[in-house]
Amino acid sequence: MSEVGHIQVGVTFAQAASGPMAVVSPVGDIGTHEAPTLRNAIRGAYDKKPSKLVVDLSGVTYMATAGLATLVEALQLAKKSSTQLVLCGMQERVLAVFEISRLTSVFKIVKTKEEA
Amino acid sequence: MKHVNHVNQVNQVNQVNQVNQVKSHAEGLGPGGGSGVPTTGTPSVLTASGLISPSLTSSDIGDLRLEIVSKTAYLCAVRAFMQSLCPRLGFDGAQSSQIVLGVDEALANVMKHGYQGNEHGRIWITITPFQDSATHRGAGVRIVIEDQANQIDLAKIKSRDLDDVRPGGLGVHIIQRVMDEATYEHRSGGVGMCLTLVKHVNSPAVRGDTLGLDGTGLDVPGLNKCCEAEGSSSGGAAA
Repeated sequence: MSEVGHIQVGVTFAQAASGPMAVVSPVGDIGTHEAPTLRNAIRGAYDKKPSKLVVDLSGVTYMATAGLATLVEALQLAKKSSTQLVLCGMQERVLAVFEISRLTSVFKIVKTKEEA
Repeated sequence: MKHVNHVNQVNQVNQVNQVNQVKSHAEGLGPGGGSGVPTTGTPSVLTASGLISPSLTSSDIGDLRLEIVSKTAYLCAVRAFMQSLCPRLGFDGAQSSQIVLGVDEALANVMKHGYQGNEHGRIWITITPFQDSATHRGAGVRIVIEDQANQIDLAKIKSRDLDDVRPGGLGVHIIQRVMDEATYEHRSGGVGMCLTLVKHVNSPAVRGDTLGLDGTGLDVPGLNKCCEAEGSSSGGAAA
């Protein structure tokens, strides 16, 4: 039986034409309680020094500002490590939170993982 | 027969609520109470003092009261509760999501800034559907969130500069954007905060409301106008 409020985060690595790529795929709600799990997964992916980090949000059903903060932090890490950060697969409910927070122009956001 | 049973259940609940309110006042604990040390003992995950049925109207439901300990793990339970309730009060999908977000952010702020991570603090959420005949904004819901945490300077509770792109500090901005009203007050007795949130069914659209439930809303300005991360330092907001 899983603990309440936990999410699953898959992390995969692949060799793309542009270089090594990491894909972080959280599934579930990313609220205040769950955001640290996503943060740890992203940091773990950065440790592999990918040239591109894709966060596939297609499995995310809800995002609180704690989740946004985690992704802004990931963006700051991307700048420091010269990694390209791409968000993809946002459900409209999650996209709305980005819009209200005026974050859609801050990130590179695409619809699908293939576009990333 | 089933409907009558539900109404009877609600009536019983209302009676219980009245008793609880009196008790809270008398002990100085809980919603309506003033000072007091946070209740100790075995933390309850979530207690709902109301019963909801799809057959009930908002006027039938009356007040609902939830009590939750200040554990972020339980925020998901409140989100699920609000997501279930709001459509039954007349809110559409986008509005319901906004209310869920507003309440979730408010509770997270209490846990983080009010109780500062103390997981034994208590938070009360009182939900009251209402009819507003004085304006054109129609029916709505009033959500009062109370705690016994340290009182925060009301002047310091404000949305921050969104052009400052950095992690954190967006909760108040989100709350103010998604709700029609958000009023912070100090509870009497020198301990605890009270946040009153109001949302009308006919409230003006919030940016993001245009997002359709069929996915067509993904073609909104901003999504397709992507910027590279390297060029983002002057745009957007913080989280």
